[in-house]
Amino acid sequence: MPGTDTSVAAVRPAAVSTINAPVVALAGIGKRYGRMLAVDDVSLKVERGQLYGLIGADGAGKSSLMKMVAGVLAHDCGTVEVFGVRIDSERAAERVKARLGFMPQGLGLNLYPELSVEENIDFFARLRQVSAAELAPRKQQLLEMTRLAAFRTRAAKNLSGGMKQKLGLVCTLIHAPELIVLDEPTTGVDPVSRRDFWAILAQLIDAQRLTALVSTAYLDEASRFDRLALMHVGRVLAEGEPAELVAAAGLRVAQVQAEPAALAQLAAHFAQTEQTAGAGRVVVTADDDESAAAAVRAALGSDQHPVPKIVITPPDLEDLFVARLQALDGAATTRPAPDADGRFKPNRNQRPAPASERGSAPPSEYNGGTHAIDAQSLTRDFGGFRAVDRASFIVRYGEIFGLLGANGAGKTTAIKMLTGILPPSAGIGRVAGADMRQAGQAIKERIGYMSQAFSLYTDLTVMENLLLFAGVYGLTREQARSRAQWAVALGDLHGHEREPAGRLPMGLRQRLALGCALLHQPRVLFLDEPTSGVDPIGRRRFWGALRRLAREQGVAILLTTHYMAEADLCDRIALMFAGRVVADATPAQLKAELTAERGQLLEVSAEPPLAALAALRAGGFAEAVLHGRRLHVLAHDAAEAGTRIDTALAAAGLAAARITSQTLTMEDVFIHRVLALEAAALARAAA
Amino acid sequence: MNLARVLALAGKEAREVRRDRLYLLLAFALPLILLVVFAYGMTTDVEGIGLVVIDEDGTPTSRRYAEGFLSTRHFVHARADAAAARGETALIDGRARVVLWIGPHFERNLNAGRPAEVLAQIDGAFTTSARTIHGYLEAINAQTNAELRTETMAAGGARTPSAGLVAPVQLQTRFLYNPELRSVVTVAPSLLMLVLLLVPPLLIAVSVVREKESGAIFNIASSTVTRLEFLLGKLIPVVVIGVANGLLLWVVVIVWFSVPFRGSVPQFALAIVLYVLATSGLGLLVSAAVRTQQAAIIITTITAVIVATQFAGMFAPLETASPVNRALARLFPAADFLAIVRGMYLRGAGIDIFWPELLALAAYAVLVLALAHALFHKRTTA
Repeated sequence: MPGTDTSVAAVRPAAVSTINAPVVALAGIGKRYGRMLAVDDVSLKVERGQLYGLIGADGAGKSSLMKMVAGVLAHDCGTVEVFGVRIDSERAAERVKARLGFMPQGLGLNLYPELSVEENIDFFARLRQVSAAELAPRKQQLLEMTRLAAFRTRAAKNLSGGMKQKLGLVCTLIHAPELIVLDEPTTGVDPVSRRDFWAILAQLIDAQRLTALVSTAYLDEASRFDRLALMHVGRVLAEGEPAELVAAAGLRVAQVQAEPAALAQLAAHFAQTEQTAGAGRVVVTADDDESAAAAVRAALGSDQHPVPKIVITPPDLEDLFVARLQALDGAATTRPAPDADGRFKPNRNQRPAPASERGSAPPSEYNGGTHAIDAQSLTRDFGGFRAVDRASFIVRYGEIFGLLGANGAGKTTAIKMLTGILPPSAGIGRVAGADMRQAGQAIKERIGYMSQAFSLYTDLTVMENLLLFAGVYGLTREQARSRAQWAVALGDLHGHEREPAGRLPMGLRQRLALGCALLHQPRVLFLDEPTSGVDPIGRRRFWGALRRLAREQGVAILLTTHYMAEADLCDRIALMFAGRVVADATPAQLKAELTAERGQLLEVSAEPPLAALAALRAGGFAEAVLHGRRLHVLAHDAAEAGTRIDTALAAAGLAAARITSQTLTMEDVFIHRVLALEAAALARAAA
Repeated sequence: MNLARVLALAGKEAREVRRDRLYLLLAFALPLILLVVFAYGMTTDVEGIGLVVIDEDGTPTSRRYAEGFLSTRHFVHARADAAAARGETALIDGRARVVLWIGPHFERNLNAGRPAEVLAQIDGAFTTSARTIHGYLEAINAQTNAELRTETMAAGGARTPSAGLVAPVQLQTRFLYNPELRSVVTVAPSLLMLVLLLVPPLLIAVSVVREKESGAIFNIASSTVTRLEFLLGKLIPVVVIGVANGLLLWVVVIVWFSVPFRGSVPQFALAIVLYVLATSGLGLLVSAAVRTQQAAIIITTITAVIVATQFAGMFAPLETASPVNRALARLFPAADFLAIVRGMYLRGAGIDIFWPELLALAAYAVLVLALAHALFHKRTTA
């Protein structure tokens, strides 16, 4: 991980406010837009120097909350105090604006696209009346930290997503504010750029004693915050330090290895269950490991052969979030209570997994052996720029295939070629046996496509949308009606048929869009970032629907995603880099390859994290990365690495660290692969 | 081609139209508004036209002759100061459209059986109206002649020599400022009014609303920039562009359309600056009210076209419009500016005559900008 030089001189003027007062204090605030309640009785405090996170899906109320703190949106009730100033009028809001910076939501949307990187920075500096003498060194420093110095003259519109967000951060910091409010700075940004962004932010907070209020839709970013609030439809579900929250949740995760039939039983007893090949993951309400294991054993039944293997681990924040959401959701997802006989009754909405879902591996071949998708050296040039470069991969019927890659790696272009929207410059893309270049209407009716942009008609109801798309595909009235019913069942949309699509939460909308893409019973389905902005429960249900489609109907599914946790759920992954497919394997294989190549993942907890990071890098762990408040390193020999880590920390005068071994995630795989490829590309360019 | 699909798409459109208020307004309210507005605005009737009578004869016969015009609903009597400039000042400052000159010896000539000469000077700045006015004058004059003939015959026929004349009163007409009644002379300068009512508001409204849409407005809202600073920052470039446009169009009208400019260059330039300030202010008002660029474009365009063609006196003089239309016209700066265009550009009038209009434009600009400032907020409620 480059660019973590911590020798940043303080660029902020001396702090002026009272040391102990919270920087932000919200008490019982509420906000309504017309009939919609956006923020409902939220109270929280952000202390000086904290990195405070607001976590939630679209529509959780994060943006409204942040705008109120930034003084650009009036609240309806409650009190908002920033730097001890009560923000209750436009005039009061003006009093704090010199001391804060606000970066609104949207990838680079607040930048001026026609202006260059430097012109954007200079514009913000002039708005904030930063003197030339202050500006020059500060700009230089921020450009170096964000590694944008080489792109000073590039127009903002020509930057990648990650670079835009870094430029946005520089512009927000150019007047050396004490508080920065960043609204979803990492949404839509690829994992490598995301990790980079957090590392830069951590350094800035440390170096400049900044306070930051940051929102994110990615739950796996939660561990990066000093303190956080989990938000859902305007309310705070949980608030506190991440570790405390997890400890106080009274939840345990049970990893269960047992017969498929027994695993299927678990779904009937626990609201949160996930099944992957031969194993189940269950979230159990329990205060200690013993009782958690007992509850799982009871649910499995006593007559299991061989005896199931159960491993209990602490929950992560997503488990906690989902548990709280389910508690809110009421009857639909309440945990089943034991009846008079002390037995658990199946939850009425938690139907047992269908038989075909119990199988571990996807059915290998459908339709007599033709591949659903067969990309052979697909290439696409835009002028002198090669967006997709000889990409080859195969997707089978019944398989969920993930196409991963940073922004601009060529994923969307590849999908457009395979759906016949864009002709390839070279190579062949076969879908359902036909060459997409020559394929006419007939083949287009055999594929389903759900684009990145939300493609439903927001003024129409759920049922009207379904019937419209059925009509567009030319189904008869009767067919249309029965397929619409099928789509409602697939997407768990019962009870919402008459609601306008525009008023549905993101999760439901995405499942409706999925249903619309499937009305004509396509054999091959393309999904471009289908779960962006969807809450965790919504995402899990969406994946449930995908798995049913693949396993029960044998539909081939090709999708792209930025959620690395979702990459783990794919049957097979192709990783794209600079238009090329650089890896094509199952998630397990990819992880095994990384372990064989670089060793296992060690998580190092040491304080203060940034100093520890510098110490580890100096001590030979050049690729150590910051992950929240912890550090991740890869090593073949854990014991030997442990000694080296302790030596390195001691050399920097730091206390010994706690080191635990962790399982690799797809995010680790992705980041290590991409960084290695970037380094190789850089070396080639230098040579 | 599949009819089921066509019906599916058409059905969807119908539903969307029913639920989208802006679209519904465009679909049904707009046609109604256009019909009513244009029906009233485009009538070519000419009524209540100011008429100055310069009666150098001053006899009962000449007075009766003039009365023949003023007794119709088409003309009203406009009083002219002295006969010095033969009433032309009344045409220049726009109080009258017609000057009727009845020469000396009017009565004596008639009685002597000689043709009596009358000269009508018509303001040619309104081509269509000028033609209509010309028609009315001819018709009324013809009727007077017929009456004169009947009277002389009834009085004893051949005893008076004028009885032999087909047209005892010979009416000569002249069109001032536009002798050939070329419509381009009227239309081209007037289009300055329309174009500058359309373009600056469109530019400024879109540039503000675009930042609202993208969220870049929050850069301003969350900073220490004041509302006035922001609005001036938006206003200055648009006013510069608008004034540059105005000057360019001015040159094109003179050079390409060969419409001679008769006024004072700095005075007319001042009028353009004030007008552009006022119309840009209107654009800021629109930007305070709408959230999308589409809405901004539709509202500024439709307003500009309706106001310019119907409420500014473009095709017919404003004084002939209904009181309601005249009141509506006062809501916009277009009528004042058009009066200045006609007066300064075509008739060569100066600031001594049009200072009230210039003052009105300046006041309008200040008022609209103050209103825009009051409506723009950095801390909003939605």
